Amino acid sequence: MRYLVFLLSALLLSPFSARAEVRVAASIPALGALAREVVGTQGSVVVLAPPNQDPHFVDGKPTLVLALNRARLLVHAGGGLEAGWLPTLLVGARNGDIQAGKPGNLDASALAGPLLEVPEKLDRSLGDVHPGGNPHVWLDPRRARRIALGIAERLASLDPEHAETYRANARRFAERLDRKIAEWEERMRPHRGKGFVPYHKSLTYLADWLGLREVATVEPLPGIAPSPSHLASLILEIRKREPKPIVVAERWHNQRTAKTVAEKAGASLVVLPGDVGSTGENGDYLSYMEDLLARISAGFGE
Amino acid sequence: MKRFVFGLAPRGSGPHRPFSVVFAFLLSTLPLAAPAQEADPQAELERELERELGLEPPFPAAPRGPERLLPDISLVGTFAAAWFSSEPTPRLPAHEPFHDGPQLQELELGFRSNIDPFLRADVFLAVSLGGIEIEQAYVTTLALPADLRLRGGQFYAPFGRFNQLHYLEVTPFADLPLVNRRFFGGEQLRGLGAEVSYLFPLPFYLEVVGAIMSADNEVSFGVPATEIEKPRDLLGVARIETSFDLGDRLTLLGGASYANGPNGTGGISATDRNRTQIWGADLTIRLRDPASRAYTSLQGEWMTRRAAVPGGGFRQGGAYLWLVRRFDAHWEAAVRGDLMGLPTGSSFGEPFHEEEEHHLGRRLAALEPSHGHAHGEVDEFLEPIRQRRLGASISYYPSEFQRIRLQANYDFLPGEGRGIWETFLQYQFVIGSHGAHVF
Repeated sequence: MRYLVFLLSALLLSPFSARAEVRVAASIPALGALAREVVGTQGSVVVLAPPNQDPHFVDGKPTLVLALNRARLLVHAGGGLEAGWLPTLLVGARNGDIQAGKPGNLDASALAGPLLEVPEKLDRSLGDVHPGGNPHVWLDPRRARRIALGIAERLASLDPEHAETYRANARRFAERLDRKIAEWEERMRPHRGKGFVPYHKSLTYLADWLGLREVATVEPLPGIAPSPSHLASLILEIRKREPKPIVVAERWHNQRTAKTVAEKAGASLVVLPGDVGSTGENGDYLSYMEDLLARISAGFGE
Repeated sequence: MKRFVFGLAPRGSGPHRPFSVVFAFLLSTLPLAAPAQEADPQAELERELERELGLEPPFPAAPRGPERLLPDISLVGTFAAAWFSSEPTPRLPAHEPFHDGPQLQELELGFRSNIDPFLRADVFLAVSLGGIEIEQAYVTTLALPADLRLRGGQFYAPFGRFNQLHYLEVTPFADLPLVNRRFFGGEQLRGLGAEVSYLFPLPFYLEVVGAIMSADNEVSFGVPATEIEKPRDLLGVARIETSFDLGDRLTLLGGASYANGPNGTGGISATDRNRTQIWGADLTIRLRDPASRAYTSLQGEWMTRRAAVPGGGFRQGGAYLWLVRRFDAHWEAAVRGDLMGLPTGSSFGEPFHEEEEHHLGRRLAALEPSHGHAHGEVDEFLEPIRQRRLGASISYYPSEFQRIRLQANYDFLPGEGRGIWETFLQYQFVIGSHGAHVF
């Protein structure tokens, strides 16, 4: 009995029962980076997915339940991106505040403006399609700006005491981002209209922003591995085109396939860095986008 | 925890009109042309105006999509063809391959949805040639205070690792580990009841689970829900589980479990005395490759059982250990070792007392096909005393939604010169909106 009393008092006094500062959980690093800009020093942000793994296939480790259990706000990409791992963690989290439909559950795809590539028909013969549209919204900084402002509004309503802090942080970030967007658009202007061949349809929003043209994809359909015949016709297609499109792959895609396609087609291969924080130099959203655009520019031969 | 496990949870699985889903059939990886990109001039122009005039679409935009009132509905079909070099060791005709030739292991129909902001429901119906059964049907709380979670309905007992899984979908083999089969039978340990679990507010993951449920197990326990007369007729299960991450890539998960319930021998009036207790310990170590779908996972589980029957009782233990290597999105290989006899089966008291033997014998004979009568029918609690089995499998996933598996086991039969080869070719497909799996 004495032991029980000791245990209970230890639990009550545990610093983890204190919720003075806001705790935000973000499903993927890019959303975590945006949340960090908004939260600033007012709280902490925990990211569930590691930056060097495909966000579709994250290990739903029990330890991630802890982060969700203590979060006041969950920011997730939505659109089915995390359907393979987040729902189970949410049930395990025992946190009523962040369940679907609650103010503590923020679906970034609802903030980011209309989604692209909303399937007309839901059918797995079209590959692993997301019912709500393509969920990879965070690579368009204009949409990232909206997400950051949306996070600030949500935090302001959850924690009215610090509402102005969140709004001011988000405004400052948006201003910095606006300057960067102008600079990036200027830098990428020479590449407008140029073609690219992504491995997976994860660059749709970046292309939409910069006016790049997706001429084909390495995987024939989302989530379906390319067959030799698909690759052959893809390589022939790229060879025909002038100027040459670039081939773009994330680190978690099959590098050998991507490299082979680029080599045989005479195109350059751009390997993207993963998500925010995947290298020492891309620890926040702005430096991450710098990194990404530098790689793409280099691929186009700058 | 996986979706983690593993591999089958679809990415784009929002609730949608599942019956409109057409299944891209086996090996349909024929030349597939990328879908034509049809430019929508209206949308193009809208975007252009947005850019040029600095206008933004309504904020926030509601996600377009299908109506969200249907639960997530999924169907998992698992078929196998089996070949045994000799009569296989006893197994219950549940979902394991158990005879030569083709068989339907299971069609699992799943319905999953939030009921309201406070509860969700998960229902899995298993259809096989023998009929339809309720595999699991339970509701889970989402928002209880004090880090508690309740579950009620019919569910797999929170005992160990394997028992809590839909093994056909998430484990690397087409059959059960020996110790699970011999202690819990082909339908795994499940029952009707309620469960409470608590997540400790500690800096690391520590969860305790306790469940009270009907003890209508095929092997170790034996009071069906319809015959319950008093609290002692129920099965109690407890588990404690912890997990640590060592860096981004390495995850350890360990647990200890205990079950205590009446085993049905000696009749319903003797459930105070004739009880089975099972202790278990499990460990999972998983190492994910950097920037890749690949991982290596080692999982082991040990259980020991003490069953008191009229006049005496039995003790027996067993374990399995498997190693899985997932190479990429498409290939997986695994090996498994099974050992019954940790400790070696033994009896205490006089469990073979003639007068009582009748009850136990009849019950056990109804459960498992008779095989060997060296010590009378009660022997089936023990038989075979020592058993070793080795298995290996290789699986190919043409997409996230289908799997082809080839598995071979070698069962070293106790006391005989030659063992048995068991070979399975298994095929599985998933249609509809199948949710995430636990780690």
